[in-house]
Amino acid sequence: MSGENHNHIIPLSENVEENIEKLEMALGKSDDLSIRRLNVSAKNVAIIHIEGIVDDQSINENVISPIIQLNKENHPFKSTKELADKIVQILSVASIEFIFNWSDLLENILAGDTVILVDDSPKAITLGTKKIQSRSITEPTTQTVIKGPKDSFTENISTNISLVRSRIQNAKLRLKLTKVGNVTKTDVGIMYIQGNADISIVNEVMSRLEKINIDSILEANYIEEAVRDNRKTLFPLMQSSERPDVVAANLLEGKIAIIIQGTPFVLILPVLLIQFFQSPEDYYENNAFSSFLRLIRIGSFLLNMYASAVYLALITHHQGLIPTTLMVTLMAQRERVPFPAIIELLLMELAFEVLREAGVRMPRAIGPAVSIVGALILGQAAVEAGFVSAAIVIIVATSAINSFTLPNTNIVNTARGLRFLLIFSSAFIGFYGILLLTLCILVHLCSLRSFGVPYVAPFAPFRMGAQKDSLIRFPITSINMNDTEGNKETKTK
Amino acid sequence: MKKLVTLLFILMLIPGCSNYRELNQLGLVIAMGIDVSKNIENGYRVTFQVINPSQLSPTGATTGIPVSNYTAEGETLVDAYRRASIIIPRDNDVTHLSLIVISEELARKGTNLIFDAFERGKQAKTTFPVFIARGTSAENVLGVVEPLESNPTKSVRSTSENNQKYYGISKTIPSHEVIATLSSEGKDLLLPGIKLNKKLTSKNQTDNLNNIKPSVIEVSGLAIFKKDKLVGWFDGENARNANLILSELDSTSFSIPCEKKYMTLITKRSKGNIKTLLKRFPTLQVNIALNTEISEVNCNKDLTDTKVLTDIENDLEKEIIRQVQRTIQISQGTGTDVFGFGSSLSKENPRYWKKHKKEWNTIFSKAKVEVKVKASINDSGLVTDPYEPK
Repeated sequence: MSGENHNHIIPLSENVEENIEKLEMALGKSDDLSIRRLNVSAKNVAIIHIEGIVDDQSINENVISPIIQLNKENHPFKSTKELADKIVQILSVASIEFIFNWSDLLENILAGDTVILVDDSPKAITLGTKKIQSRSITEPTTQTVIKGPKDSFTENISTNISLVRSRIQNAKLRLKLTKVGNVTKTDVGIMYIQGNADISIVNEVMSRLEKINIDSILEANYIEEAVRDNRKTLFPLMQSSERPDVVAANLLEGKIAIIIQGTPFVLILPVLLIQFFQSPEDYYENNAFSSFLRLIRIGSFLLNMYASAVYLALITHHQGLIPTTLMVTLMAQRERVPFPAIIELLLMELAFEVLREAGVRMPRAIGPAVSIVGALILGQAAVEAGFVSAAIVIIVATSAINSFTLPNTNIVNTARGLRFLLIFSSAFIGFYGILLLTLCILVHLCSLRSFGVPYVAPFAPFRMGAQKDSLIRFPITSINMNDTEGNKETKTK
Repeated sequence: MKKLVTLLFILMLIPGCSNYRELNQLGLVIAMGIDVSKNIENGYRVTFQVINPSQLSPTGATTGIPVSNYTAEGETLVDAYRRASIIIPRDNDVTHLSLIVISEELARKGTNLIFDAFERGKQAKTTFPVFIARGTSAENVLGVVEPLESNPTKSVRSTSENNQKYYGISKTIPSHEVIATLSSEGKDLLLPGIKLNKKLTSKNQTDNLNNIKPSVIEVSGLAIFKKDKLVGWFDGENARNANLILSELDSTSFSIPCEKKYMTLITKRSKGNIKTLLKRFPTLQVNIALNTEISEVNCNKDLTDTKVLTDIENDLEKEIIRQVQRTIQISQGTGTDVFGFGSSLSKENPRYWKKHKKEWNTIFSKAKVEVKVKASINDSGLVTDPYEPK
């Protein structure tokens, strides 16, 4: 992963000033490089760190002041080695390591460690003083629930790991850290539970992460796009969640979590299609009620995808299928509409997409203005002016509202894409087109794998045991958690 | 992936031409009236009732008549349908056809294979009901908009349905059932009749909407068919009794005399059953069972006395027997077996049926009729005895 292999073989100089000069050169005389020079028993000692990513207070109290104290005590040191050992002993810092070459020195300083260089010593002492500013734990913003935990991940990887660890206090919870990104060298952690997770998938994840050859990892999606099984699909092959309870629950089911420094979204894999319809709240409420809501969500997803296309097929190809009274009403509405139904529908669908995008992008202060414009202009006024028929507005609004019931936005985007494809095929040959495309989608779904696990399991391949927590949820005591996870899929292969 | 795309492309091409049609290019034909052609021998004069959607808009106030009738003549129905394009401005759509009216004149000449086009056509459904325009033309019946209903088609259907619910003269017979009855042995066709209760007073249609006693659709008896020809009518009570025998009655009312006045019982549930017994000669047997409720009493009777109730039941049974026998006699008079006694015989005694099916209508006309009725009173309403003026 390190692009600067030649640095490995360059050992540190035994002269502190020489090292400092070289370091300043390497960092381009960066102004936030802080160097504190001390003299202990006639030896030059330098304490080096980068401002802002370290714990200043800890360095002052636990590193600099003991060394000054040591200087005052005026110990006679026989050798440099003895001095270095003494320094290591008096520092009250949790993690201390020795490094011998340039590459490690640079890496550690950039990661927020403090480095102590001592004259005539071939090794540098690095202290784990990393402290990155991050916001505090807040309520989740994208995956909200009424009942259930209110904490969410932050941009800080160690906070995120602690949130998961606090939920699963078990010796079998494993964490493997690595760095990804040629330039950013972002910390990436892989968490799983030994015994629950399929170790071959863990190894596969590790090897795919190591093969990533991109400069930067700034968000979870960088990793997702780099390691997913099928790059052409519209369907999400990994789940991302900002909820620690979701990640914990998935880990317990044998899934693997990838936690990335700098983003509150944690990747969960392997993933099954049905997972995108399951909300964490399903397990925090009565199971009968949760099952009902789960079915509602699946229905909503289908409506969101199909409502527009089916409506278009009905009014342009299969007029005989509409009840006569409704047909007359629809005809009356369309009587003075200037555009063909397909144009009308696309106009409204695009208008909604634009509104949605505007809603995400606009500054908070002008939010109400956009909703007024959206609701009044695009809804009422457009119908009254005869631009579009009222039925189209109802259909587009229905399909839009339905997209908001899904707990996971990844799958909503899939539905948005497929919706347009379905509209085109419906305009072309009606229900026949819709059916053809549906068939293609189903075939495609069956061909998808998420880290080797069939995407539409437990329906295809069908497993009776796992049905207890797929479309509907049985009481928690009757669900065998080990039976619901994806790892069984690979084991049965 | 490439294979999938290729497959999709091929499948897309298989259906050929798309039948893409915009709603505002469609003319929705909701009813057809079939009359005898005036100009073409053995041809038809067909009235197409097309919806005018802008008059039925849910928000806008309607200013005109919601339907337009277009009449065209042709050798066959499809011919007339095609020729109608000289006056109909829109792409006709018959998938929503919900009413066929045939004039009595045409029905008396014989309907022949008039329903073939509906069965054969790819678009049309065969679930729409068929009515006979009694003593008038189908064109006239479809030509009146009445105030309570939005269009003539709906008037015909809802008047008929309402009558079925309250008295039971009319019945809704979908065209596939008409075809089935016409092509079956041992049962003749009955079709409901409709007419206008009075002539339109003004040439202006909208005047009818402003008239407090408007010209409206009236259900009028059941037409008796011999094969495909109309030969007679069941009127009023007889039409109702026919439906009672056929067990197709929702509810009706019977009035029986009581101390020079009358009392009325309404039926709650009724079941008719026919059987053809073969004792040397076929005997037509009708069994009727019904539950009734006393709903009006215009004489003094002690309704708390079970003996009185039993007497009323007996009176009602006698009355129904009298009426049903008269109804069957009318059927026997025209020599058409509309109740399906022949069909019942053919199932129970196929050998006899095979031998005599050719002269069945004559046998039917002379056959003895046995009617058994079991009536029971379940309820006498909220009061027991009627009030006494003092």
